[in-house]
Amino acid sequence: MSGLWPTNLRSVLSTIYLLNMPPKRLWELLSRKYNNELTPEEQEELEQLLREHRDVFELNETFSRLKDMPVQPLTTPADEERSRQAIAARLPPPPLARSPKKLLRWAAAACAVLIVAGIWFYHLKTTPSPLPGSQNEVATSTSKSKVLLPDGSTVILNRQSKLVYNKDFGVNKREISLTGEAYFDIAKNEAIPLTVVAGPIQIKVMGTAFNVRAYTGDSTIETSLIRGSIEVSSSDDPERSIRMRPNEKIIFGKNNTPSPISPGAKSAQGSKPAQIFVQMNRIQPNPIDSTINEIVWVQDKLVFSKEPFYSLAKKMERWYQVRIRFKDKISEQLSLTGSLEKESLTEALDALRQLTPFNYQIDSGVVTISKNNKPD
Amino acid sequence: MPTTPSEEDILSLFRRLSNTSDQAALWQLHTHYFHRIYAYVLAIVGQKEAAEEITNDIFVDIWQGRHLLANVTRPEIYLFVCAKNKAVRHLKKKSMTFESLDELRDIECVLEKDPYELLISSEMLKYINDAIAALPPKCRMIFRLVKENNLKYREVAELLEISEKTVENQMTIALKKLSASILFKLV
Repeated sequence: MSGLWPTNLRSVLSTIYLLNMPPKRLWELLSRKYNNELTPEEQEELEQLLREHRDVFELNETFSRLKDMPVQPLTTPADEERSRQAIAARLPPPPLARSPKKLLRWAAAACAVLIVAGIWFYHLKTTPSPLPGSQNEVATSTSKSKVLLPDGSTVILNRQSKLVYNKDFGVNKREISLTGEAYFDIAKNEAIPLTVVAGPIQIKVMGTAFNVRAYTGDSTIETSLIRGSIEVSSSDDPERSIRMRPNEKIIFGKNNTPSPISPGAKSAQGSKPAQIFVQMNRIQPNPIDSTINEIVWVQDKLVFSKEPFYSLAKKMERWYQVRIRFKDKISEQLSLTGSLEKESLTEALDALRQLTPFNYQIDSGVVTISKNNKPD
Repeated sequence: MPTTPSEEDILSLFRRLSNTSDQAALWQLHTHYFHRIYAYVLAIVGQKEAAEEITNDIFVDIWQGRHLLANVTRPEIYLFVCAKNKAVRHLKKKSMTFESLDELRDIECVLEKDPYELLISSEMLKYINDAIAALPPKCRMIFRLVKENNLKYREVAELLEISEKTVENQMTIALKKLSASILFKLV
């Protein structure tokens, strides 16, 4: 991107800005607005000033978005964990609670904090009751869909995915079952906990945002936590749950045949629990533009500017749900600029080839990119 | 912001601590406040190890004095005042003093995209962060405090023992400088 505005417009704007410097009063009012302290008269005055200074008007828009942008913490999750351990070591052991169930939870929680770096929590867990007969269902095929749940939570449902939730969602309980992939932004409500069931995986949710990828055809189920906190457990070992911290990703490997999607599904009594492969990864935002690969698909548009092909490929993998491999270093390093919206995978690749020549081959979901040897 | 708990949320955590000695409530507080208190303490003491230790002390103190929490009405301010007192006491022990805002250490402040907030371009975000980095340290600290903690100017003023007007002025300067540099970067 060369800039947000066309060059001639930008130079006009800069001239206007120099000739028509906004008065100090405008900034004062913007500052008070930031603090939500504007009186109706000041609001009026600000609007008048913004009409006179169109260029600042743009910035005003930016600033209102600025409010939603979080400040990067100075500490890492590892720092937090170290702090938790240091504090836990100085606290007395947790007091005995009345109910034995509670006591077990407590003891388990304390052990986890002290010994296992707070990641693994052993809980007594009750399996969720199956969804009632009456339930709501949203399914997508070739396009994504944004679902607004009755409690104010939003879910963005990826292609070929299905979401089922109970009819009285948010009134009594909040139970969701998912096949496919979805990004959840869940409204906080401690009184009515929320569970998401994806195949054998059960996720207990506080208020939070996270992504679940659980396509029936995939060999893994991935849960990526963007913010807040969730607890993930598997039906094969329902008593063990993993408490996730932001920017962590848990990958469950499905063993043999994936169990059919039914909320609360459990492995048959008496049978040996299947070994489920679990891997915990960190989510690394892309250094170039701080996007997060796990949730790139949520966007309506894939925009890239002077981006190396290897990095764009990561996003395209998510976008088109394919794997992209490079045959050589040269094509990996190709620099690409453009945006993709409704194009199919081949349309996209052909369009990119117009910009920078390369060859590609698609074979069962794997795209192989190689350098353009001999143009024919 | 969804990550910021409401005052009632924090008050209910305080009540769980004071009434039922619920340690889980302490860990929830920790999740919400560790990084924010750390940043604030670091601004006063200027040294990472000390800031981390002081921040840990604060949570231990909260636990040990949890019966006091029952009377707290403004929990967030309570936490920051605890933090400030501890940080200032630490400086005194080292025969240093913290007299005024001018002694705040330089603290970086980088904004990041809320994964859900996709409307702002990465280019714009970079300009904003460059501009924040170029702010005078005092200005940046106030900006960080206001933004990170969602504090009112009045509350920031209280914490830093300066007038509300000063905070408003600093925020005015911050917004003005941010706007100017962003605009000229784009032009």
